[in-house]
Amino acid sequence: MSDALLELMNLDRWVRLGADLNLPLAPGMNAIVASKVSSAQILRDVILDGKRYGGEAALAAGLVDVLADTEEQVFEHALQLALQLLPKSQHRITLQMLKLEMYHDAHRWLTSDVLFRHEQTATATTAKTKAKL
Amino acid sequence: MELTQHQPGIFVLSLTDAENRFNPTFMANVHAALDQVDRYTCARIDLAWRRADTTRSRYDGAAVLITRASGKIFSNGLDLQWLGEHADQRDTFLCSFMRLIDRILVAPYRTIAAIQGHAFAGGMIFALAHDNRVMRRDRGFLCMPEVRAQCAMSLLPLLAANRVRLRLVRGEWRC
Repeated sequence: MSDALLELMNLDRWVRLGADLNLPLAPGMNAIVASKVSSAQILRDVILDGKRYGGEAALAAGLVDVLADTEEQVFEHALQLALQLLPKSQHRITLQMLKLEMYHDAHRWLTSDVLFRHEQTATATTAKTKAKL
Repeated sequence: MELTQHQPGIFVLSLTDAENRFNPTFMANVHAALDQVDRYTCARIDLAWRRADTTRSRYDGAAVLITRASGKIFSNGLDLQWLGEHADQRDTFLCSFMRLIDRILVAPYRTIAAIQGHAFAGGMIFALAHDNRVMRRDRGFLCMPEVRAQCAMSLLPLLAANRVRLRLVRGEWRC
């Protein structure tokens, strides 16, 4: 009996997991993707289509900067890049202020603790749909 | 997870889990690593202030952070299992994840993601938060499957129900 109960509790856990994952992207998550991709088409492909980008496709879409052939080379390239960037990052306050300005929108939403920007609309739609049914 | 200093100012954050999923422990570890980089840059800047500018090394206070992982997966995103077990903490968890992402996004040093494998969902957002990204040509995908998550996840109750049904059929439960 206790075994059965445990299993049912477990089942409940899965049900809750399924229900809870029905979450759209929080404004912050959306904003950071939007601030990093180069065009509206790529944003659509990434978020609405859930497109999978392999190396070449990611490079073409501008999602990554460099490609490398092996796992070690990925790190080697990163290291080379780091050596180039080191002299350019000595003014840490300026650097941070530049980034705050560049990613203003994403930063604002990521630190806002807002998970649903359009909660009202969403519930209204659900109510309407329910009424129709 | 470990943070090493490859040479002065170049920090390498190695994610050592198999899937590098984000749960509170993992995020606390990332924060601790970022704290170390912050301490380094602050200390160097203080040093430069205290000394006369003439003795100041050219790169004082400069740091670059490389985030790397090994194996097939760079990061698989949020720890859904943890999230399932702590559904009541979902909102605070998501907020703290976003704050971690923000910390990398506006870090006062350059950040590079060495993406050697898959970066899915939250893992892709984590990679995108870095300034520069290096990716492997022939292995690994960047993907945000949120749009498919709902249908994939709605199968889970069915799977669980099937498990219950099987047990009933096998007569394992006799109440």
